[in-house]
Amino acid sequence: MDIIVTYWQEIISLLIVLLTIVLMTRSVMRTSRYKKECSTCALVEIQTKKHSTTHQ
Amino acid sequence: MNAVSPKKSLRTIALIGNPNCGKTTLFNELTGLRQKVGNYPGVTVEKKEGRILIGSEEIIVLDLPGTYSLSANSPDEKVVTDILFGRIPGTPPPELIIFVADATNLERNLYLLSQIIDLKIPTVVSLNMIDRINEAGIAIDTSMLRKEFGVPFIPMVASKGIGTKELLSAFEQLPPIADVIRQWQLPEPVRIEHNELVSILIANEKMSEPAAFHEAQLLLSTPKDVSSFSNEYNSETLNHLQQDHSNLQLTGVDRHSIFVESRFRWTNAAYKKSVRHTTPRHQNTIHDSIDAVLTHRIWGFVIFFVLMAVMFQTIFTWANYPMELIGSAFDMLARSVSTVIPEGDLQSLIARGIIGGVGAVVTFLPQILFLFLFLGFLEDTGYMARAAFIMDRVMSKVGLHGKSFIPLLSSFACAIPGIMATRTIENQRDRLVTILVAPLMSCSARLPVFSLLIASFVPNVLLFGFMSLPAVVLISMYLLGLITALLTARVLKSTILKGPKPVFIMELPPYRIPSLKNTFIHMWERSLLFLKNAGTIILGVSIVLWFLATYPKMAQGTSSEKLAHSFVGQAGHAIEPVLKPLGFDWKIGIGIISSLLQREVFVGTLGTIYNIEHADEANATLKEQMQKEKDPVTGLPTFSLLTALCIMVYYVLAMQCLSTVAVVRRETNGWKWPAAQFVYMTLLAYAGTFVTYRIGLWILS
Ligand SMILES: Nc1nc2c(ncn2[C@@H]2O[C@H](COP(=O)(O)OP(=O)(O)OP(=O)(O)O)[C@@H](O)[C@H]2O)c(=O)[nH]1
Ligand SMILES: [Mg+2]
Repeated sequence: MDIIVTYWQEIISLLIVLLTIVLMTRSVMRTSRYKKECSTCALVEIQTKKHSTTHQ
Repeated sequence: MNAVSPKKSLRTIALIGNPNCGKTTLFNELTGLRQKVGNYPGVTVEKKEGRILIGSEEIIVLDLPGTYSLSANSPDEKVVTDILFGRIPGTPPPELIIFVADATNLERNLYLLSQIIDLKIPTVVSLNMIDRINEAGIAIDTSMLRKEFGVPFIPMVASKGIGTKELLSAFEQLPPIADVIRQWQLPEPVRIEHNELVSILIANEKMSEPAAFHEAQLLLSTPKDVSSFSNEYNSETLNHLQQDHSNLQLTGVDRHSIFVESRFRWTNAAYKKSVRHTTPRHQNTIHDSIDAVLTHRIWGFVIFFVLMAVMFQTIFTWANYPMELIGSAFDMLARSVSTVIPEGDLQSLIARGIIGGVGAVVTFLPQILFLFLFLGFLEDTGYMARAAFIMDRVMSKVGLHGKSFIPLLSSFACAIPGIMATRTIENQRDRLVTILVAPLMSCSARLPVFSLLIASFVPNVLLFGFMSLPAVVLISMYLLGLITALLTARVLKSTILKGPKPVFIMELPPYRIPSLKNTFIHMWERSLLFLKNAGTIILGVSIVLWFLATYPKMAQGTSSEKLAHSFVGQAGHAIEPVLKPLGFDWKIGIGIISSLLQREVFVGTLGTIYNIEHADEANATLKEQMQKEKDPVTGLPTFSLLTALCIMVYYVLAMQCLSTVAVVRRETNGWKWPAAQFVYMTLLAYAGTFVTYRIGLWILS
């Protein structure tokens, strides 16, 4: 029983880690593709459509 | 917006006016957006876009930087002329203009208005700050102004939303302006040359009449050599211009000033007709007496530093209670996660990795809020410009402007808006110097790092009976940043970016009671940003770090042996030789590397690493874990007051912020300067920390 819990916990944790890495790489890629940093929100922001209408 | 209607067909209104006259306040009022407003010239430095409905028509509204005239040259002011003359590809010139005028400063505002009217674009004047004219001791006859300038003047109080309806309905009733008559007169010989040049520009350079009209004035009055325009104009135009210059020379008029003078003569006459002074001018007001103290050669400095000291003292004491509250909330969360999820990797990931990392950073939210409350207060009251004024003497020793001090002061919040604010600096080299040193000012992201270390290792005793030692250490860190920035600027100004000393001209804005709404909106937005960061970047880093600190796994051993065996442990040991001279252990090193992304990641990283390392023991706060931390070989504590100081010095000097690098790249158009900046700051940080460590050891021995 304990072994199974440990096993599942390990699998789920690794999946979370994997998901995080995928999401982080994606957002880095997206930022570099749009290349437009948003100065208003003081961040290197991803310029989504909604974002660019609120401030350019 | 309807998906079928193409964007192009929307008309554009541009907000134009002098700096600090309330354009952005009006923009926010019209569009419902929340762009930054502040009581000093140069808050807005680039174009911002929003939308409104006038009648049933959707119109784009542009908020623009303030400018004193259309011949100004700093990057922010150039945005205005570029837009008005349609020089930006993809952005046609505006169809309508709202000219925002500060009613208490009309004399100066009308000058720019007359330049705008020359453009022959339909214009409505928002006569703003009408609530202050009594105080200023003037009465304004708006119908006379309307008669003189031929455009409607709408009295307004933008900060209270008074007059916006009238402003918009004035647009709906605006008669089409086929021909505005330019009423100011040039002396005869100048007028003839000017008219000739206008026709030539229209014919040869395919300019519109208003653009040619404006350009001809610039070309005729330019102090530059005609040959310096050879890239922009064809040779026939330039030959004619050369001829004009010498003709005007012969007639004896001063071509450099004649346009400004002629225009001023007219606007001043119009001003005299429409504005009556109810109290004598130049009477000493209460504002003048306050200014006499705040900008005093000695008292000015004393007050500046007292203000700073009070600010940091309160950040430390007041923020403490909410911080402890947040800290214990995260503690409880971690504990309940540990009871819900049985022991294992998932429990460790959530309770130690995520909550340990994100929680450690979020705890500092109250301090950040207090910092922004104070900075907002300084910006809104008008003190910011006074600080720039008193700092001008220091800045000029460095070879910079008092104007450069505003970007530096803004960098206390964040280097990014600080770097943007350098757009108000006209001289390219001075601007570059300011950009290069701005990240040395301690920004809000350093605050969590400083205050974690200070709270853990600086004894909380009172100095002189009223200043707490922690606050003194914190202020010293801010001063270290400021002094290093000034010294670096000095070195840059006397070597690679040599240039003449600029002359400082800056308008001191009137004092105003800060608007609470404004300040709170700003604080609210900053906290959202901070939390968003914690929920994305810090969360991501914590999860990845948990993985790197847990794998490869070791079957046996204590949790700290397991940590040493992990990827993080191995990488840490590899970089240890570099860190040794600074007195740092490998865990601090991992913190420094992961925080290259963003400084507060350091706190999150330590939170995650120590939580994993101390997995065997009962829950403890990050502060307690750091105080307990021992070197496995020598058994001595890893952290001492000296180590804490060294880490802080490192963070003061190092450029640990990816977003800043990106903004510098954009503002300088290339990788050269951000790369140089990153290298010099990292070297400086390493050397500075090394020296601190050596001196510390020497004192201790
Ligand atoms: N009393 C009074 N204050 C106002 C009014 N409108 C704006 N203000 C204040 O004037 C200051 C400047 O406002 P901003 O909207 O930032 O001015 P701006 O023209 O955008 O300034 P720049 O972006 O620097 O060119 C702020 O402190 C506002 O709160 C008004 O109608 N009455
Ligand atoms: Mg503005």
